[in-house]
Amino acid sequence: MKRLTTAVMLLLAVLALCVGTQYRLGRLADEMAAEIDHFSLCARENDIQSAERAIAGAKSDWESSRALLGSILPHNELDEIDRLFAVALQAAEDGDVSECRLRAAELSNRVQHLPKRDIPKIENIL
Amino acid sequence: MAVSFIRTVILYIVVVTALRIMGKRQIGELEPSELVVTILVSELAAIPMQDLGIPLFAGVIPIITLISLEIIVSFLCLKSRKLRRLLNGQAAIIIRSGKLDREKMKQMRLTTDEVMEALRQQNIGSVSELKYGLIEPNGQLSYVYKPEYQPVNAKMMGLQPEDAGLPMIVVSDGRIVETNLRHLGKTREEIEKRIQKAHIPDVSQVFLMTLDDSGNEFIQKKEG
Repeated sequence: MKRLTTAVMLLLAVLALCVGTQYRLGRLADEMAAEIDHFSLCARENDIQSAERAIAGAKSDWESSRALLGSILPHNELDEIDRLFAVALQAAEDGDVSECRLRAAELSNRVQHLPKRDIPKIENIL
Repeated sequence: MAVSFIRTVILYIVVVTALRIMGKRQIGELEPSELVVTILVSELAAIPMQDLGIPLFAGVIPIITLISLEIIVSFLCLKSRKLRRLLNGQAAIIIRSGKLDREKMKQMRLTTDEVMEALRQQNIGSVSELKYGLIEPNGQLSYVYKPEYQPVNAKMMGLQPEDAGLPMIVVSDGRIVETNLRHLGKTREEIEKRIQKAHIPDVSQVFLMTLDDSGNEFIQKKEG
């Protein structure tokens, strides 16, 4: 009976972890997407300084969540987003509006895809 | 390299703990589902061990899930005969009254060579000695002898052999095992007396000492 209880508790803990990380990842992705959209808007309005601040802020928030993300997501995906942040930041520093908007679109797409890969839908399961 | 080392240590602890939770069985006695889970667990542990780009949880979560499901299913099998038969199968009688059941052997895809091998491993000379021979769900052969071929035992001879208890280790590599002493209801002084009777001056010079509840003992001194 002790073993069965342990098994049930472990299974419930795993389920809780799955739901919890999915929720946390979803919220993080939404926050990041909002900051990246703000970066894109600033770039479109030719406000390069605000765009630079926005993307630097988004990158900082991303890095502060790295420990959690590294424990649940494949590292090559995280490395790719790191690279896109670095390129977007450089584009903002260079004042290249079209490059900023391009990188913003790519970043937003990548970041928003992160929680989608773990949603229990048929296409993900199969 | 350091990351690889640390991951290996963590996964080793996880796998050993998981298999420990699953319970004690020899590899040859595992039910089919248990064998599958054991193999899967080792494969799952190897993935994050080798690929540092994969998170550790990608191995740990499936391992915990598999072990938990296996324990829950085992418990349900314990309660439900139907489920047990569905998942584990049932024993098949392949020998009746000293003859092989060809149809059953065909169903189980067993050859005569395999049956003879299983019989030899059980020190059975001939199929004709057996009243029943069964292949268990784990693939092992179990059997019932015909009365005339049954090994002689003390009851048949009208003998009353000495009662043999369960031997427990009371001294291991020079150290007294207190838990087993308590189970046997013995004291350190009693053990030391027995050791001295065996011409060994001290407990530290004993490699192994076993004792059962009938008082039967075995003592082996350390060499060198």
